Amino acid sequence: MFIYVARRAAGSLVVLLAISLIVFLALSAAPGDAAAAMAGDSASASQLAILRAELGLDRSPLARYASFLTGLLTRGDLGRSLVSQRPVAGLVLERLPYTVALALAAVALAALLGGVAGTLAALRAGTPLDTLLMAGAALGVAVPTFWSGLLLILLFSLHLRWLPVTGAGTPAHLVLPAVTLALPTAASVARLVRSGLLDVLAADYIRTAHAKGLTPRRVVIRHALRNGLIPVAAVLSLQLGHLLGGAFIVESIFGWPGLGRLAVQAIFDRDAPVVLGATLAAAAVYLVVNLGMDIAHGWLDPRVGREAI
Amino acid sequence: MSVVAASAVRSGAERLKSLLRTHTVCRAATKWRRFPLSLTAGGVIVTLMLLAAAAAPFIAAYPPDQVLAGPRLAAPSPTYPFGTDTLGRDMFSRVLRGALIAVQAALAGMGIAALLGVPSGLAAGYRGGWLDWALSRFVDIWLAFPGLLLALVIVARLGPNLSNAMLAVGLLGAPGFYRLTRGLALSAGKLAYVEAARSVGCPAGRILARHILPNLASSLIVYATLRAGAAILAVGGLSFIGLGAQPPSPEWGALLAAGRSHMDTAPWLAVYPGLSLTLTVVGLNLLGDGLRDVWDGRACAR
Repeated sequence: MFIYVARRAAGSLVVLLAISLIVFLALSAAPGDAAAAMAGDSASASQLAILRAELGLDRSPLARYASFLTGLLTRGDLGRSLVSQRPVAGLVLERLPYTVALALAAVALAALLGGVAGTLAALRAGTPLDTLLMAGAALGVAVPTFWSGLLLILLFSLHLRWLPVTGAGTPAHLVLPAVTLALPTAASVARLVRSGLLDVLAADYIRTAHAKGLTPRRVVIRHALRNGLIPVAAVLSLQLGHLLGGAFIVESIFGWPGLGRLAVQAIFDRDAPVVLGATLAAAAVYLVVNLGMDIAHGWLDPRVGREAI
Repeated sequence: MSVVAASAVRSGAERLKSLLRTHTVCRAATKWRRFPLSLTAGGVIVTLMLLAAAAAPFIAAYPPDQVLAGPRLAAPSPTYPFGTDTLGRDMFSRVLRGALIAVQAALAGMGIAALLGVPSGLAAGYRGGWLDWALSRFVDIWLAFPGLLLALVIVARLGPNLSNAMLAVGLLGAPGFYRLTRGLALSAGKLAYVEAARSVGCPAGRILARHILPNLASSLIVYATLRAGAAILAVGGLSFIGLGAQPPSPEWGALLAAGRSHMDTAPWLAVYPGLSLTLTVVGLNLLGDGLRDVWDGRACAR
């Protein structure tokens, strides 16, 4: 088991290093480097050259990557923002709690909505309720968050005036972004729960449970759902990782000050160190979540660990 | 056996998903016989969208970028079915033109992904060995970027415009095609008729092109259909946050972004582009699901 965990952790670390190298090289080769962005259009060639030397931009990209990596590993230093001059690590840590709160809220909501809808559809398979729920799910996986988000704002913020349009700070601010982000995930969870449950309900041990006189409710909750939910748990934790790093569209709609918004704004500002820092943080969080799930899986199912060694 | 944590997790989840899918498919196939409703509905929607895109210049009453084609911010009416925007441009003409861009986004996003992913997946799955190992590790890294984050980095590097957004979405989709093709080619390579072809001295390139690829075609077409919808969504999302199509392009995501500040007084600016986008993606998903049901149904019927 220990060897399995160590191997997985080492693998994640290698991937993270590769990502940092790729993103660093991609961004440092971007047209219009940091010095040009800082100095503005009026700067002369010699001024630019001095600024480049100051920023260390006259060295080769690989040499700069080496010093970036040393700074990151020894001091947790991600460089400074070209715009605000603040340390990138501080900016990232400031935004991270917002992204985590949004992702957790969305996944919890998606599990609840998708779980209930999927279970209902499976228990009433073939009825109009099933058709209705599955049509809703088909719509849910297709509707873009940047449209459903706008429609929710239109209804709940502008017409009913129940919830704030954008911003963060109170729990009310979290409701619309979390619902928007949860909808597509809830839809795919509902489909997965339905098909998983239908398979399990046809299994022999469910017939046995019915035959020994258990109440239908007990059969579904204690026997069927337990087994039917294993793939759902896997998909949900995968989604959690994706939402932690990929929620920048929803964050943009609702002005939610998370990591994704930080990265998007930095792209507009040509603030390469911040883009790099935010991207690395998102990828790191994603890998850590996946690693944690892998370890949990190996712990729950000892076959997984043995297989990997 | 994977070195990378993420890949093991994902492939595990994918395996489970496809397992579940096969089971429901069998049930659906017996229920809907050979011609599922989803195929008809999806086919109709996608055909209508393609027709709209092709006929846009003939149906649209105004050029999509003509300002003051009507009054500013006019509500939908028989003259302006989708209303007009802040510059008096006819929204119906603009949304129609957007359909053409959506078709381009679908073809580019899915096409680039398939062109990169299918040949490499075929080679890795059939040859195995170091080539498979190297390509698979590369794809692991590619997939360790959550969601659209990689597209964000690519657009940051190349500059925000529509063609770069399509390119980024294509690059983002390549690992999916790679993994699917690799897995299918791996099992197809062990089939008896492939072994027979190999034993009579058929060269590897010919085996891949003439014997293995046709065997994978149905799975690849289903996946490509679903990816086309995902590509339209992704390009729209990048355009919406300003990293894709730029004004005055009538790309649907860009139209939504432009309409959101007037949503309170002119909701039609946000309703129709989003509706077209959602309907198109629903259509492609239904078409993909329907094709899978029909093709897999045959395999289930045994």
